[in-house]
Amino acid sequence: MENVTVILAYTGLVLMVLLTGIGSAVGTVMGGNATVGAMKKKDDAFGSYMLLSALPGTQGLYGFGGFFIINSKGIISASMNMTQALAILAAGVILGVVGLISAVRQGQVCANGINAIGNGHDVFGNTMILAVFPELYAIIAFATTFIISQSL
Amino acid sequence: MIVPMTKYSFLVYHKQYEEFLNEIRNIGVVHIIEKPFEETQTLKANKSLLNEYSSTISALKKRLKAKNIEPESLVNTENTEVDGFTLLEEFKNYQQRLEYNNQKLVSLKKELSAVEPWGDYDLHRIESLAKNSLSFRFFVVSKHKFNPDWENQYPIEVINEIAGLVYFVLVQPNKENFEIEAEEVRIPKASFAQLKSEIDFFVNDSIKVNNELDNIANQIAVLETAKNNLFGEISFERVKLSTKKEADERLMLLEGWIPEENSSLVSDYCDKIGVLYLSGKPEETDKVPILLKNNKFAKLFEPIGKLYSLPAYAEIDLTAFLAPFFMVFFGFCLGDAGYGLTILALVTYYKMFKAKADIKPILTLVQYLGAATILMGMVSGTVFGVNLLDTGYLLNSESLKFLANSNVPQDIISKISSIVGQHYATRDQYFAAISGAIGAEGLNEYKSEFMRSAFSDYSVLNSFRHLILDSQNMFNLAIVFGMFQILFGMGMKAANMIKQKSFIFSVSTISWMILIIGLIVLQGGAAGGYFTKEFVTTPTYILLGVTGVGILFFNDPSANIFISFAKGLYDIYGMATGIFGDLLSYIRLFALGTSGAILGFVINQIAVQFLSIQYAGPVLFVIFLIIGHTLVLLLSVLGAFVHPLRLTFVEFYKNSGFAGGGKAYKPFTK
Repeated sequence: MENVTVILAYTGLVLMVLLTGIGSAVGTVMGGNATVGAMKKKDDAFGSYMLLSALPGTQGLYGFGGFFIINSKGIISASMNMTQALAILAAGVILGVVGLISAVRQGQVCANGINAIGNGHDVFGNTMILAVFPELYAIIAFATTFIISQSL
Repeated sequence: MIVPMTKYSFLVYHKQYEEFLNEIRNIGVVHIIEKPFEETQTLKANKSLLNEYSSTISALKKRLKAKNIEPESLVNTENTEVDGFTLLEEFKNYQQRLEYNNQKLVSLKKELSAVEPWGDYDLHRIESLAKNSLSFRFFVVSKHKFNPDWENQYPIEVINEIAGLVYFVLVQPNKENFEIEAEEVRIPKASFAQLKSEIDFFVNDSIKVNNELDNIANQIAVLETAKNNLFGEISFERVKLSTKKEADERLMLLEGWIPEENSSLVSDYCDKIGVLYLSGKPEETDKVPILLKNNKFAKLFEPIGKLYSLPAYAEIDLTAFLAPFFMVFFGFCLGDAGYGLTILALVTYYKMFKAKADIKPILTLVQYLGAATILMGMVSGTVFGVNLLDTGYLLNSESLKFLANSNVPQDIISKISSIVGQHYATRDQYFAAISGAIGAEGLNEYKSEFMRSAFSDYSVLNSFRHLILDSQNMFNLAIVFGMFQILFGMGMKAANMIKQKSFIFSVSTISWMILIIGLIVLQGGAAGGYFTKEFVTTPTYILLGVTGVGILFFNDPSANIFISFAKGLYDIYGMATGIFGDLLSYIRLFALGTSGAILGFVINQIAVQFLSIQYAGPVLFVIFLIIGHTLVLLLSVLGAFVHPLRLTFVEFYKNSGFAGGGKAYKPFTK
């Protein structure tokens, strides 16, 4: 039973970092791929492409931040109780899944924006604003993790 | 602020029109209202020529950039005798020649690589021998399939062995036909030497062409002038085409907008030459061009506002009001005083010594953002990832004296004397020790006094460390900022309503503001223990009643009371869900600040590990810190710029009732 709590807690931490990391990796790749295409048409807007490509990178950082907040509490040990372990697991699932999906979807918005800029439409500002819409939910998930960690 | 505009309609006699347009263009303040027109062939041709100029100039700029030459440092166009069009044509010709040379070089190099294994030979001799009944056949075979006996059996000569392939030639009388199990290849039609010389020719020609192109690049200013002149011609043509012709095309009717402050420039001229004109204030349906005029500080934030949209003419320009929020929010998201200082120092240096005049306003904006980051970094107590709250806690006899002077009861002081002299690295450890000694209640009651009485490892922090907000308080501060900006936005909406319509249209919004502020004061006060629950009950009902009337019955004063009531009900639903969502959105301020601080902290932790390495340790420590913090800074700056943008354009603009959609004022000028 003691091991079960530790396994659950670490599963939470794994999901937190793993899923958000995958999401950010996929999201930034989408931006990167679109950039390579757009460079053929308009190579003087690389700065805009790069900023938009980097946007989905933050979810991975939220995952890592969440891991750090919980890990630095120093409570993961054989003596922790089941409620604490489940709370950490829940935080991991919330941040992991929301971070994964929001990063991938954000990557799609950014990639479309990059394509549009490549085709000569001046939509850099608009794309940035729209692209941070899905990120809000990863932020909420990060804040949730923070609140959970306060109650551990 | 939006500059007030006056609408002008000019009626000009056709013979005077050209001169009139020229002078209007010289004055350069009229924004012409373009009417739909059909483009003439000349206009189409000029537009395509303008594109050619633009692409040529951009290609030449790249050429100059590759050679680290600033286009501004070149040429005086006044003295040159070359005209822009000739240069453009020359550029096109040289560019085509360069492309042709490149294509030729690719195919020649391909041929050369096929000929190379056969060495240099004389094709004419081979052909003349063939006429005299002795033909040459070229073969290629892989080394392991090549039979050395062939050299005895057939009249063959191995020419070369490259990359596992054997190249050999068979010399046979025309009557014979030897069968060899190897791949026969076509005799290359050009010899090695011929191909080499052709390649040399095209390479040299490309060098010449590149020199000519460089020469053209040095005269880029000529092209720029020609482009600007052409742009002027196109604008002129467009204005002429969008002119309405009256009285058998003898009278020209032109309409435009002029900033009120400049209108006398045009009206004086018209009076002088006798052109008839009418002027008047814009009507509600007019699409008036927008010219912003803000003070020095707010002007810096105009590019940020333009990222979304310019305001509509009837609205209040929000630039001056979004500026302080944007600054503070940027600082909140970046949230590290060290990073703020770095930005401020680097940008100030760049601005003073390197920057061109046109980017100085942007740099000033970045300086403000850096200063805001320092401020917010001090509030959260983060400097280069180091949390100032966790800088050691030590209680000594002076601390006890301070507690006694701060009216902390003597029994509590005597209880905590057990931890006097103990050193605690972090605030949590310090509070845990106090809580252990006097209980959680005592700690909560005198938290501030305990913070102030403890000595830090760094004495410089002692005077202000108790003012630093911890994570929980930063979370709350983000929400408070959010609430403040939302209420401020509502205030702007009410002001807009009053400006555009009348006070009665703003009653609903003002009621919402009073309701929210009232509820915060009454219910928040009761929850915080400032009022009793009984005390706030009646004022809360009165508040709900009074503001409810405003919200429900004044939602749309232009409609009848039932429709206004229905709209009010819908508004309540929208507001209840909207405000909650909007407030949550401000949590991003806290989340970004925290995640940035965590990354900075981790960089420090890893860097400290390097110190244990002998000799190289300190060097690696410094290098890792610089690289690590640079990366974190770049990542965090991106988030710290984008997220306040969203808060401004979505939450603030929505609650301000910002419609936007204004088109920029573009005067007809040279």
